Amino acid sequence: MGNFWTIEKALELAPDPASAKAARGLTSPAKWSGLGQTERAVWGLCKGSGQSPYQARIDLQGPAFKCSCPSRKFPCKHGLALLMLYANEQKAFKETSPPGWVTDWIEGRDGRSEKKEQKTAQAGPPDPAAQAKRIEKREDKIRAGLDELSLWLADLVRQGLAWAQSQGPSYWGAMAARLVDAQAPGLAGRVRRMNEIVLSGQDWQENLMRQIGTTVLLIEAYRRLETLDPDLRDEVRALVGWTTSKEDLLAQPGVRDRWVVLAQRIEQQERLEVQRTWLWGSQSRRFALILDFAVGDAVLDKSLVVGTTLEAELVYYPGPAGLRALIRERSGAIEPVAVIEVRQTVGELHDAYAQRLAATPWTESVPVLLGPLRIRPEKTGERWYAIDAEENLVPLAPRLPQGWHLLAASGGGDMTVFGEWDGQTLRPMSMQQGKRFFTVTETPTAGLRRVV
Amino acid sequence: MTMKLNANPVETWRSLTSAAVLGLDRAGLTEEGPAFLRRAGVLSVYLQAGQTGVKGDGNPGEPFDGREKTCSARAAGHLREILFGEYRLLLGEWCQAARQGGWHAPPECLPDLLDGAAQMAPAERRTLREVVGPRGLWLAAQNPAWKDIFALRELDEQDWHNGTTLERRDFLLRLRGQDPSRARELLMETWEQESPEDRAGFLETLVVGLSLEDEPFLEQGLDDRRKPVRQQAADLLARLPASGLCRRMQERVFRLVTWRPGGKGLLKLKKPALEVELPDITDKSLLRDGADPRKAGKMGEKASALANMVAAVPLGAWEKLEANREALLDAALASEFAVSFALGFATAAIRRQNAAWATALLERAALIQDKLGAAGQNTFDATVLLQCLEPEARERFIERFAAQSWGGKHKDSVYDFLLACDHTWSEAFSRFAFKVIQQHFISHPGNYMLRRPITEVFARRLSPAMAERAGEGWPEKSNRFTAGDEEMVCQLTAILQFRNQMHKELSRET
Repeated sequence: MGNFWTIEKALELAPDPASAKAARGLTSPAKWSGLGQTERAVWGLCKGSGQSPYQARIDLQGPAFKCSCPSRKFPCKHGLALLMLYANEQKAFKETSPPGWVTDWIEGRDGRSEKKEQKTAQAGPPDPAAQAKRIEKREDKIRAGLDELSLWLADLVRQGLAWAQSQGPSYWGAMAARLVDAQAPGLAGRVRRMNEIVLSGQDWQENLMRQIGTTVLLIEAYRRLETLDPDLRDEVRALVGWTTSKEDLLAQPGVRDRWVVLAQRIEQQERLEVQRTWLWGSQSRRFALILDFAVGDAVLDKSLVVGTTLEAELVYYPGPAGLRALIRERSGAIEPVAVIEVRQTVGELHDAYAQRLAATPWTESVPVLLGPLRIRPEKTGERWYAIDAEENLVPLAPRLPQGWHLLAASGGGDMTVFGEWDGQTLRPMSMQQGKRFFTVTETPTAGLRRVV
Repeated sequence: MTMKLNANPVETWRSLTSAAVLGLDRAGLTEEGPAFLRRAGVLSVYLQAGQTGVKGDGNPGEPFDGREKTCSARAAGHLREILFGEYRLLLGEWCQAARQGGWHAPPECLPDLLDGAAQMAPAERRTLREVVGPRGLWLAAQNPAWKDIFALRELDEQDWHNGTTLERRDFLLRLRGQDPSRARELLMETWEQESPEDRAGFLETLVVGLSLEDEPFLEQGLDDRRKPVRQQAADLLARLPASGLCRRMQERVFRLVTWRPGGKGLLKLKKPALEVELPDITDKSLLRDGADPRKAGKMGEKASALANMVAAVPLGAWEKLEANREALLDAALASEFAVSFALGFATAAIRRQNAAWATALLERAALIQDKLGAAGQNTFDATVLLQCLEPEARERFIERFAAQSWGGKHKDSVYDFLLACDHTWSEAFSRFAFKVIQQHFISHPGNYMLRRPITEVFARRLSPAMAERAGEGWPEKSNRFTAGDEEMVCQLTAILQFRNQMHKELSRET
């Protein structure tokens, strides 16, 4: 198997630009000694300003880093430089059995994940009385939040959508913040999306109307929670913001498969970073969404790399949508993604979406794999369309900044696209043509990056 | 008032939305309240679920189908770092190397390359055209913003008649490159109507494809009412050694100078000498030919005029007077009007891109610098003279110069020459240059202005093979070596290493 790592991929793991720069300065082999590799790990010694050289090691199944230098950054510049060196000059690393300080660390990592699983199994049930009280308190908060939101929406529509559009971002942000305080983050997200909609250009009025209308339906559904089917009940609770505890979840049966990591997006919210990673099971042919959160200085989990596949067992959160999931266990090394065989037209997509709406009418968008598609510009790049195998048009997100990149990379030929479908437009997040896999980027610049 | 519900859901939806945009209060529907929103919710879902596809017009456009040699993934990674990272200055170098290797840019980077084309110089754009390859041209043709980058369109004379001044000037430049006579004709046609401000600019375009055929028109320019136009015309004619202007100047100058070749004297060898008389600046034909007697610094009017006259004399004529160029130059610089000769010869060498004369002048740079300084002039531009030489000749010259002046009062000049020497240096020269640069930096501690030339200029000229050694020899232990200096060395090393890898990757066979 060829080396999957490139300098660019390594640089993405840098915690800040200064680390990236510093790491770059350390990438000449002259600064390193004792470079070695196995299928699982990579290691080396780097001359530092101290007396003895620093021991840096990488667990490729992750990836995870550890270095003996005093830096508190993660990964430190030595770890980054080691990975970049490995990406560039794999031959410099001797294939040999690793020294003690490497095997100890790897075994420690494996042992720790085992211990974690044991701990979850061993932990007894929490104090029921205290828990019931907490739940009741939260329930009250949420209901108060819902009431406030209903009033706010009614007020909005009385003043008018045009008036709402003229309000600044703090209008929406304030309501979202109050919902977060009311412990209903799901609803807060819907309000934030309303803000995005008023700024989205054409058709914003109808889209906003729809978003408000479906949010009202969701609120009503929550108020009548007991009358709903248990499945739908779980979904509605999750959409408002209740989470299933990880312990409960991990007790459920899981789905084993070879999962493709299709796309990853990070959203910045006040003091919180939310990372969404979309997976797709090669056998089960179903999607999974892994969420990861980081507050303040905490670091997001970087172990899922777009364009790779991994063997893993996932556990899905309850609800008919069956999208959000947790990784219970993963094994083996990651591999670059093979060709994804997909034949899905937009007609089939509309059908599938209609069925989803029938089950959960407040669905905002669904992940889709469409193909074969050909992209083309309309009006010289102001709007973009894709054409499916039946010559139907698939409108792409309005003012798509990556349109020209997709056209350039696909050469106007057939490709498979992964993205989010909101019933009207497709927002592409990655693309595959033949063996070449690209991810659609928004930061630092809008464009396309080839991953495989 | 309540809402009239239409049986047609689409119509209902439209009126619902319009009412909402306006605001229920203003639409007189305040009582609707919660029911309104619920209705909107249900209806929107219903309509959304009922959506079906729209048929295309069956005209997707031609997909790309051409031969290409896309560069490797690693080279693509380098290009991405250049385009989106901190090595933007290296774009030209990457494109050159790619073109030499016959590589094409990765498809997903084409839009970003094409976006940057507008800021490129014509030579860079020509390289870019090769590097974007047939796929890039196919892509550019589909976006009006890129259609004209590579001037694929035919030149249209309508642009000459209808454009802005800048556009017309660009048009003339391009046409001069293809059909100089036609360009001149067009300019002559509209000359009388052109505003005086525009004339000089248009005349300047004649430097492209300049030939004796332009002489009659330029002679007319010598009589123009505006000085910038007259100066421009004189400058252009002075670049044509066979022109009437140059012939006239040669006659005038050779009437003023007397060459006394050296020889054996009684006690010692007599040095050759150049005796000079100053020109008569009331001579109208002299003024017409661009003598421009203007006081400059400590130079008087006649000395200034002499400089301009010498600048128009064909260099070959001097060599007929005295075959030994060096002796002539030494004598001229020893004469009473050395400054006039220095300026005149320099301008002439630059105009004719004459490497031999440029070298001779550069070898006497220190002396000329002194004389100019004493005369209150600072217009001796070593950079432009240096560019008259081929890259190898430049390197040899600088090394020779350094060997001669090492430790002397002009040792800083070597550093200045390095600043002026604009090409990618050979490996051997780079080793020499690095020592000079390092020495210069160390002998000016605390001068943080010296950092930028190192990271922005020298980092691009030094041979990438210097990457390994760029970190050595710096006084890291000295307490005058600050963190900023350390960072500079880091950056220098990083850039050299990057260039090294970049070139390695693009010079592979497959």
